[in-house]
Amino acid sequence: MQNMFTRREFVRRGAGLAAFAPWLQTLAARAAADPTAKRKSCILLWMTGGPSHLDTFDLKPDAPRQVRGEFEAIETAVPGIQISEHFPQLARRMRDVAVIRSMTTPESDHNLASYHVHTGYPLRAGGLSFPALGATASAELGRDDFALPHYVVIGAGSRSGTSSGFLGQRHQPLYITDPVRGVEYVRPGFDDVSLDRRLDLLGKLERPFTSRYQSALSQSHAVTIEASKRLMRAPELAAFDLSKEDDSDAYGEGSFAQGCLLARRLVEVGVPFIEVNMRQAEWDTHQGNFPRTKALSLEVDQAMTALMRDLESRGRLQDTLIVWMGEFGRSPQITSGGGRNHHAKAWSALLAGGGVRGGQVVGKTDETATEVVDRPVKMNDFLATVCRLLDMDYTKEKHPTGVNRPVRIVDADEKPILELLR
Amino acid sequence: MNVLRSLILLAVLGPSCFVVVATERLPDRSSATLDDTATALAQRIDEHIDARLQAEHVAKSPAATDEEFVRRAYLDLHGVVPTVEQASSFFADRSRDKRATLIDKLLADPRFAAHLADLWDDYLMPAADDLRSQRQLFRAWLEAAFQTKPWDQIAVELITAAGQRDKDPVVSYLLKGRETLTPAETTDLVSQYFLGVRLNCAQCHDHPFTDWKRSDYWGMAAFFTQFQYTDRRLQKSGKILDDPNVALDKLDESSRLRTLKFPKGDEWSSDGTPHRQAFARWLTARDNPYFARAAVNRIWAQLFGRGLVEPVDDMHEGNEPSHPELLADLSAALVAADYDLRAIYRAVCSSAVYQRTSMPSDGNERDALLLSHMRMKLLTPEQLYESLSVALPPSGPVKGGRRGGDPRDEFVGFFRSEGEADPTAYTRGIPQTLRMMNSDQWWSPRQESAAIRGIVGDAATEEQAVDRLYLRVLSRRPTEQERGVLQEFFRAHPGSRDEAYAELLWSLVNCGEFSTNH
Repeated sequence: MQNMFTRREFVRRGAGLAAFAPWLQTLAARAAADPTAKRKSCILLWMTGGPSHLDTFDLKPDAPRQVRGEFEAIETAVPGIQISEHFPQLARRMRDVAVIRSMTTPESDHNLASYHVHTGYPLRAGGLSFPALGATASAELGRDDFALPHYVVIGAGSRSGTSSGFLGQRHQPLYITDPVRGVEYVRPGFDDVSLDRRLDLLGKLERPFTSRYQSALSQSHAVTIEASKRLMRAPELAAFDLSKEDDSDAYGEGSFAQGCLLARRLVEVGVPFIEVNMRQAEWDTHQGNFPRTKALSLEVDQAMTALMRDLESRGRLQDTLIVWMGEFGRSPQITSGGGRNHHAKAWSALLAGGGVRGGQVVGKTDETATEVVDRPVKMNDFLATVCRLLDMDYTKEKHPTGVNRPVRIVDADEKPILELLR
Repeated sequence: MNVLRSLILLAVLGPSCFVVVATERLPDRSSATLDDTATALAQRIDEHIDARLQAEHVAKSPAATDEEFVRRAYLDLHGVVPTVEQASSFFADRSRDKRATLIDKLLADPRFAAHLADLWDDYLMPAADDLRSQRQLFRAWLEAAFQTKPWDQIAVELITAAGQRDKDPVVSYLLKGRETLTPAETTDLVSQYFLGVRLNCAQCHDHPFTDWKRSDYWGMAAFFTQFQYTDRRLQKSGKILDDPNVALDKLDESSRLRTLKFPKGDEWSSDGTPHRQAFARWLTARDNPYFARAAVNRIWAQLFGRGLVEPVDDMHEGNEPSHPELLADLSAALVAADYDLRAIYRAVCSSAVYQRTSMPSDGNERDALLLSHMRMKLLTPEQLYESLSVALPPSGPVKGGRRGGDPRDEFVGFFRSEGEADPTAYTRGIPQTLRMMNSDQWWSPRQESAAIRGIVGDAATEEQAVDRLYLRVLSRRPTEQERGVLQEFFRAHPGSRDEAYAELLWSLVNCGEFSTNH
């Protein structure tokens, strides 16, 4: 089993690296001591479009009117930490949440930024297609004996950056466009005996084609057919059925809220990485920033706190990391249309649950939230932090076919945010 | 000759005559001249490709069989697999130049323009649901344009598009909801699809790998500041018009929009011509270094699954073409053909390179760049839908289809994933595979028995039935190996023959061969 191999290799590597990475040693020792130890999961709440940091988690009440905006900052359960008035429930849970106010990234185009934030690498650098964090988690945390895909992306909208890249079709996410509909077309219109015969014949006809043409495309087609077959017959498929929930209202209405609920159910059956996509480009507030940000904030506030509460009551909050982020923040200057444009130089992200040392703010921006003035967090710093929280060795090197240099899970010169780790 | 006439006109009238020349051009070449030109260009394509293969000691795969070729040509030029009749008549044709005849026939058919319209609709229009009716009008505009007009003229009409969206649907691609594209968004789109350059990095900083500067970006964006939507509330009567009074220093982006400057070229001082017209004229000038190059690289990518420069819209000094002289030859040929795209499609499809099999041989299986064998391409959602409609009898709209309305739009919307680098592409994942395998659109008992009646009909033997199924779905006969597998399948099958045929049909439609162009 690939799984076991990975573990063994992990132990070996861990021992070798121990001199300069004690956490790896601990990690390896833990894995060796208890091979059945529960693995971590991650839920990424993806704010497509780029939420305004100035109107969510990095308010500047003392800035000029044209920057400050319309929202009040409120106190939270942690003295000294203030956030937008439109996250009242999250404010009460601040002890479990860490705010990073010093994200700083190079891309301010949606596509390029989504790719960079998901993968930690620039789009098409060296022509290589990099895996999203979720695909890496699928490869590192997934189990071979688990029939569901290990990376699930919920919600319509941009899928930019969410591919498995060079990790291949096996770690490609399962896209669920509508959480209420779940996996569509999963039940055939013919009986199981006929299905078996069809799949068997398909396999026999597919094999000669794949070997005749030897193309990556025909091979990946065969892999997807296998994964679909497995999924159709998986008992875990019931996790996608939200009608089994009695208290789905607690999360709120709409695709994002129901997506958070589905994410919780998937964590419970063992999916290591789930991404919930907030509606297409809604956070891209070039016009009408304030009413839109207010509505979206309240929606996130309810769903995210319901998710935390649910995970907690099931004893899963400490091993489920929740990440809240978009592809960038928004410009301090408010435009004539009451909007804010893209801003990647300084923005905010949240980490919650999953062993994060909450109740902290990391980093600081200047008086207009334009530049980072303390503890800049680049994408490799951020991803290294997330990997540590998920017990993934981010220094591991991958060897994509056709490329003669190894590629690290997280790009070099990373500085994980140690103060967030327990 | 056309070129000569244009040059004389140019000399007489100066550069401002380009738009006029383009619209008044007459199709005055004889078909004999065209054939010669296409043959000569096809030969040059082969020389360039073969020289590189030889230099790198990579073997060439043999020519594609007629079965491979006919399916490929129909998919690439009409966006659909051939019908049983079309494939059979091609196989039955014994003439030596039947491939050239087929290429000419496909290019002359309106379906070719419809296929180009599908592609360019995907490139230019955002994939949003609420634009469906606009999208169909825009697509129809494109189809009519590709039917009769050369590429430079189409580009000019797109870039200077004006009017009301119902009467002049060409403006649709400049609108999103009730807004027009911003100058920056227009610049991104125009540079990507007409210049073959990704300028968007240069929006915020000088391009890291090239000498594109922020001033190139905003200088170009300044050309797209005049067009406005006259009425935001009443969409039907709203018009896209150029407002000559727009002052750059009064705009939101005023700090960046200072001067009108052609990309890596001169500043342009307004002479009263609408800015977009001035830009279109610069773009389609015969000596423009980007326009023809971007067009031929995109055609190459459509036909070979990879541009001579790849990514296809990332052409810059740091990103060398795989075959630089070939790119130059093709660009020059497009200009010499007065931007008749068919001339390029004809020459490329006539080349031995295009007509090679996609099966690797003699150790060339690792080659993904030199075209030792044809690259396999995943069908676009549109190609897949059209091909399913040929392979299986027509079916009604999907039950419970999310988008309702037109079944083709619904299908394409389901398969499509946003955020792909190539908007015509999709990632074949589990949702798409499950739909192909399980949708009752095709696989209800009623649909299946209708399909078998339609395809197998009165076939006298199992062998004949199998032949008909293969020809219908895969445009070929089964191999001996496949016949063996199927004999065993029929022998072991406990149910009726029709049931077995339906299961075979299902397997053929779901195999990788059907979903790819090889």
